[in-house]
Amino acid sequence: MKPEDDELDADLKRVLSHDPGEGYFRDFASRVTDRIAADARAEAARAEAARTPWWRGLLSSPRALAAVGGVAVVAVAAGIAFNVMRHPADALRTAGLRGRAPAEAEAPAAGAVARETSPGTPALFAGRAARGRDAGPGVGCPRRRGAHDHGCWTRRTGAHAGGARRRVGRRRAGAERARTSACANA
Amino acid sequence: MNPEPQRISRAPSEDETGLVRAAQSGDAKAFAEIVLRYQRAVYRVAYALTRNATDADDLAQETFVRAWGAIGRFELGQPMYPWLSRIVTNLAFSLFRGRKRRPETPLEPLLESGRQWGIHDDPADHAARSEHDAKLQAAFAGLSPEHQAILALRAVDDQSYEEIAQTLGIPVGTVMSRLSRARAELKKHLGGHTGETP
Repeated sequence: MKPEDDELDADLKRVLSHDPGEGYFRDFASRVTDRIAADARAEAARAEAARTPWWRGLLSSPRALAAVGGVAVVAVAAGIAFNVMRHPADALRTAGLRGRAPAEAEAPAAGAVARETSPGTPALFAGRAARGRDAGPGVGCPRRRGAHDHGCWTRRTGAHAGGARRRVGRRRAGAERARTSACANA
Repeated sequence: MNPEPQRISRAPSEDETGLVRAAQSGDAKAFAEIVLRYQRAVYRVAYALTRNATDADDLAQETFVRAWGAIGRFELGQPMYPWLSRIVTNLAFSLFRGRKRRPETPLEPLLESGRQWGIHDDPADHAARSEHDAKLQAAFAGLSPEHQAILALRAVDDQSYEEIAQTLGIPVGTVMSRLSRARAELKKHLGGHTGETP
């Protein structure tokens, strides 16, 4: 080793050395042990998280829970939409729709019969009369005997109508009767 | 021929072997004793490699945290310090790679040299030495991390060739040749900074 190398090393030692002071080293070991303890706690938490089932993580935070709920809603809505598109007849499950479907199917034939049997009826009223919406007495609101004798069973829904519907039915029946007799007189 | 540089004894004693054994069985107090023994040496190497007090503090603490994590794999009867020195050197290399740049020129040595100012100092000599130190630092910063490490271990930490070989995981012959190349490169950089020929 050359003397100039010794000199260079001495210069390097002076330049690259730094004394942080006695206070720095006094609590250095405690800082290291604190850091080790913190690392151990973090590692234990990671291990605990790895042990728990993945779905528990989804339920642990409100945000994850909301996301899961949103996905579930979308999935259910998509399932319903798919089912309705694939089986359209099933969509008519409600009582009203089920009651209307046969009436709509019978409408053209009944109209033809009405035109044939009562030539005096204006064409404007023939379809409505055939559908029975504003039909005369004994047609639109058939009387039923027994416990429901006092009531009126609507043709459209099959449900039992109250007093208000009965009054409307009577008014319409009266008006229709007047129109029919006017046509007959003419 | 210059003899081996003066250095502290790093051969494992009975006491140290007992501490390592206790630490391996999970005794945190025994490990704290090991930290107390080697904290200055580890900080010295960390500072020489980073030339930054904050980085050196981080590096020194991280060295002991890693040592605690790997103490179970440490071979009993082996000297502890080369192992710690190797950890701190590898961590410094990782730091350099992570930052993709060389360490910055620090402020602390300049402050240290300012504190050394005395009434008997010649202002001209002091100014010349400060200027020389700044150039030496700049020249050292221009070296590759491997050359910086080998010079720091040799010049600052006074490690022998064998200890450097253990620390860096290279043969002793490679240590000698690399040290020679590092010195030559440093002189070349120093010549470039001073305008002199090396």
